[in-house]
Amino acid sequence: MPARIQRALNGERDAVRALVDELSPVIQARIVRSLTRRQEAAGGRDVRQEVRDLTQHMFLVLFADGGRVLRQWDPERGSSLQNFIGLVTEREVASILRRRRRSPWGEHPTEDEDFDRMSGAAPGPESEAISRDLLRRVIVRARARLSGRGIDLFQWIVLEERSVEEVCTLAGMTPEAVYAWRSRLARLLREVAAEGMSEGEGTRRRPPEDGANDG
Amino acid sequence: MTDDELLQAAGEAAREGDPLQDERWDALPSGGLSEGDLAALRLLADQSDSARSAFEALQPLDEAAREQIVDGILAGLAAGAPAAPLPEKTPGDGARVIAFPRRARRALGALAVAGSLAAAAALLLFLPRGVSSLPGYEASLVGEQAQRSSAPGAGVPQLGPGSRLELVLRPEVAVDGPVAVRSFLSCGAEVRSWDAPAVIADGGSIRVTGGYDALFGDLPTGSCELVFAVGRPSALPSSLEAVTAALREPVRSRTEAWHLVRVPIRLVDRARPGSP
Repeated sequence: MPARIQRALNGERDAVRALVDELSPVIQARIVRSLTRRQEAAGGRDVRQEVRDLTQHMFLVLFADGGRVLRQWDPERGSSLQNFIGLVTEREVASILRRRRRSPWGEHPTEDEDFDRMSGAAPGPESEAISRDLLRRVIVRARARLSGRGIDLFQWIVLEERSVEEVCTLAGMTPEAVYAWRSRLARLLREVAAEGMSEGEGTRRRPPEDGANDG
Repeated sequence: MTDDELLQAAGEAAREGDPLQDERWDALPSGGLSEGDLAALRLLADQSDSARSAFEALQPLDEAAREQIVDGILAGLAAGAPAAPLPEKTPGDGARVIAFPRRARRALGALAVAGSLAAAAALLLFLPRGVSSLPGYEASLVGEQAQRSSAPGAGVPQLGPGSRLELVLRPEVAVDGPVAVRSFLSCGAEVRSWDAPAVIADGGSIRVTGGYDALFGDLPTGSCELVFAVGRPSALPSSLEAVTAALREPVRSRTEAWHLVRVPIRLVDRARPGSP
């Protein structure tokens, strides 16, 4: 445990302030990326205030319970403090956003397991030539069908191309579960693309009300 | 096309429309960007609402905000209490690489040992013993009002005869245990009790719905605030005076047993076109 962190955990104001100065940029950046990429930054809220609130919340998380999370950082493992804190932030923000969506008045995305039951999931000839333009529309439609957890995993696996190890850390999953999600996401993309090709503009398999909340 | 190829192509397509693809965004909160890089980000910010929001949200925290964070941290360390609700284990998932602290709530009476606290943290000292804290709440208007309020320059939502209020107060994280709400209207200098029909769901979300005439029919037009005291039943303020005093306080800590959620609205003579 670096001395500067120990001093902060001992309650030395200067050391705490130094850590706040050091870590707040990476915390802010990861929060903003998480909110923006999940399209959570809209809705009339004051995004700057929300980011400030979440930044403060993250520091409380790091120092809670005697700094239990902060103490888990081990420089010997090769991860920088900034990268460690960044991952913790992303995970915490994802958790908060999932809980929001889990509200009884939140979204009604398709349940994760529904992907496994979708027909037409096998790759067909039409999926061999998915244009970039169609792909962008497919992504929009596919994201709309995802649960909160699915959106997180789409973000980490597809958009950010995180390593399996990082996704395990962020999602609290085993590697096997992450690989299963890769297959689910690919199957969903093929499903939506097939709909778009066969139906022109494409229609949803079923209305969103049929789905279940985040699982 | 294999799964890997499909996911890679999808990732490339998704990143093309990602306003935060430029890595300079990460350096913006540190305040260390060159003028050239800042100008480049400003240019990006002018091209989309999300980039503009990001540009504003990524400005370095000011001195007051940093000191407020420090005060909150020191208060939590001095009390030895966990100050933030933390993620729970996700059902059905396997091993966790990072072991997060358990979600815990402790009697906030322990905070009495805290020494010199900033104003926000000091409020915690006055909580009844054994009353567990609540996460922050945010308010969102549903439907037509929300669409209007999210439009650039739309400003404060307007309500008039014939329109309908649909408001959801949502906790930052799901809340265990009982939650109660009392409603007030703050119009001008006056704060008054307001008999708003609030429904509280499992997890602590609160929904308030009703027609304009029933909710605001006896009020003059103009700017008002819908004020909700949300908290543990035993901790809610019981008097108008307490709420009025709280309205004058600076932003409160997000870990209190109750807090105020304020929603500015404007009452107008008649509903806007398209109002339900």
